[in-house]
Amino acid sequence: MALNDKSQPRATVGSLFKEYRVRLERFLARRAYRPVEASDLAQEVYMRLLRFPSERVIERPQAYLYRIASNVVHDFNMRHKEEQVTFDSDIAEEFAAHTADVWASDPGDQLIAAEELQRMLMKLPRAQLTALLLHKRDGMTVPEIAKLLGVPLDTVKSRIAFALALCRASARDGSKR
Amino acid sequence: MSTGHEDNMSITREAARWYMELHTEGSACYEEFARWLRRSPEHIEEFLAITGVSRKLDKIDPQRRIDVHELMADQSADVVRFLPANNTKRTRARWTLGLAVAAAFVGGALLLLQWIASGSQTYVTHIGEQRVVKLSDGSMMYLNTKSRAAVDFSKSAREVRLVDGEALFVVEHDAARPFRVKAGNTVVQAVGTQFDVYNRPEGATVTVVEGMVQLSETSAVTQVHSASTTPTRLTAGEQADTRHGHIAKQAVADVKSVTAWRERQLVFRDEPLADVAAEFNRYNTLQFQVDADAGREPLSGVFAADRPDSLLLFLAKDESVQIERRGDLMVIHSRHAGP
Repeated sequence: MALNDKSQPRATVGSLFKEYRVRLERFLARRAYRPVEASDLAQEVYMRLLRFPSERVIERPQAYLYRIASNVVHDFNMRHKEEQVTFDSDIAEEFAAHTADVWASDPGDQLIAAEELQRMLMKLPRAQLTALLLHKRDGMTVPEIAKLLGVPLDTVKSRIAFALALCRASARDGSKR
Repeated sequence: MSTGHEDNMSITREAARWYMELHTEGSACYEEFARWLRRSPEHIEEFLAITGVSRKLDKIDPQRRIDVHELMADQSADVVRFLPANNTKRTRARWTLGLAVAAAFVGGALLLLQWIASGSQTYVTHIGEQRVVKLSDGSMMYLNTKSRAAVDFSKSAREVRLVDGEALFVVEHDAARPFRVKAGNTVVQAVGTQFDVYNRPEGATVTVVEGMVQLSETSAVTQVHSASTTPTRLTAGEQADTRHGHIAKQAVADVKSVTAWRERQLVFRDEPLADVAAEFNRYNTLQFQVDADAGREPLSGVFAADRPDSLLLFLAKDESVQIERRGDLMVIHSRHAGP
C-alpha cells in the first residue's frame, strides 16, 4: 500500500476504501446493536489512531479510520473465532434445525433489518424521509436530489444527516432497553 | 456510561454531518475532521456507528412501498400545482434544457409532474427488486425482478420496449393511441387490457389476463411493425411463446400463477427442478445450481420468491437430493447418481 504516494491521493483513498469498507461496514451494521462491543472497538481504534502520525491522518482521515477499525475488527474476530457458526456440506440436516435466517450471509444484519428499519422510518419527518429514500433507495446523489427538490446542497446534506443521526440514536436507545 | 444522553446525541449529529460532508463530492476539510475524530473515543464510536447505520439503510424499503413522489407532492401542498404542458413532441435534449430552466424557477411539485410526463424514460429493477410504475396515460406497469423497460409515449402511439425481464401491463383504453410492448422482435398490441410479457433470450412469453391483444413479429429494428404479417390474437387466459419468429399459442389453466410474482410468489406445478431453480435465481443473489439428474425431478409448490431458503427447506426433506453450499452458490445433486 502506497501510504506516501501523494501524487494520486484520490486513487489511493479509493483503493483503501475498497479494501476495508465492505467488510467493516457490514460488521458495524451488525454491531450497532451491541453497545458494549461497539464502545470497546471505539476505544481501541481511538488508541491506535492517536499513535498514528497526525500529518498522515490529516491527509486521509476517513480512510485511516476505516483501516484501523478494520484491523481492530479483524483482531476481535480472531479472538471470537470459536464462537462463530460455520456451515459444512452437511447443511441440509443443520438447516432443518435452524430457521430461515441462517442462510443470510450476515445473520445479525438480517435479523434486525426489516423490523428495526421500519420503526426508524416511521419516526422521520417527511422532508428527511424523502431525502433519505431518494439517496439510499433510489441511489441519487446529493446534487441530484438538491436539483430535483429545488433546495440548496447543504439542506439535502443536513436532511440526510438528520435521518442518519436519528436512526443511530434509535438503535442505541433501543439496545439499552 | 459517563457521558450524558444529550452530549451523546450532539456527537451523533456531528458524526452524521461529517459523514455526509465526506461522502459528497468536492467537500474535504480533512484536517478539521481529523481533529474532530481525535477528540474522544465517543466521537469515533459515533462516526463508526453512523457508517454502520448508513450501510444498513442501503437496504431501506426494498419493495418500494413508500412512494417518494407522493411524499414530495404533499410537502409542497401549499405550492400551486401546474399541469404539464401538452407538448407531446418534446425531444430528450429539449427536455433536459427544460428541466434546467424549470429547476431554476419552480419547486419540486411541478418538476416532478413534468418528469413523470416526459417523453422517454427507462425503468430498471435489480435482482430481487420490483417496481410499480404509473405511466403518463394512467396505465400501470409492474416491473418484475432484474428487468429493464424503456417507455416512449407520443401523440400517435404508446410504446414500451421491454429490453429485459418481465412486466405486467394494465392498459388504459385510448383508441387514438395504441399501446404496444416490444420484446425482442415480438410486438404486443393492446387496447385496454391486462397482460404479462416475459422477455427471455430465447423468445418472449405473452400471457393475457384480461381483454385481448394482437401479437406480431417484426424483422430487425423497424419502428413500425409490418402490416403484412397477420397478427395472432390472444384473449384472456391464453398464452403464447415466440421463438425465432414463430408464435405458439396455448391456453393457460391458471392465469393467476403467471402473475403471482406481483405478490412475490412463485407457483410451480410439476415443473422440473432445474426450471424452479432458474426462477429463484432471478430474484436472489443466493444462486442455485442443479445437476442434470436432480434437475429433472418434478416439483409442485408455492414459494415466496425472495425466500430461497423456503426452497431449501423443501428440498432438505427430499431424500433424493443433496445440497452443498459454496459461498453464495447452492449446488443441488441427485443422491442416486454417482458423485
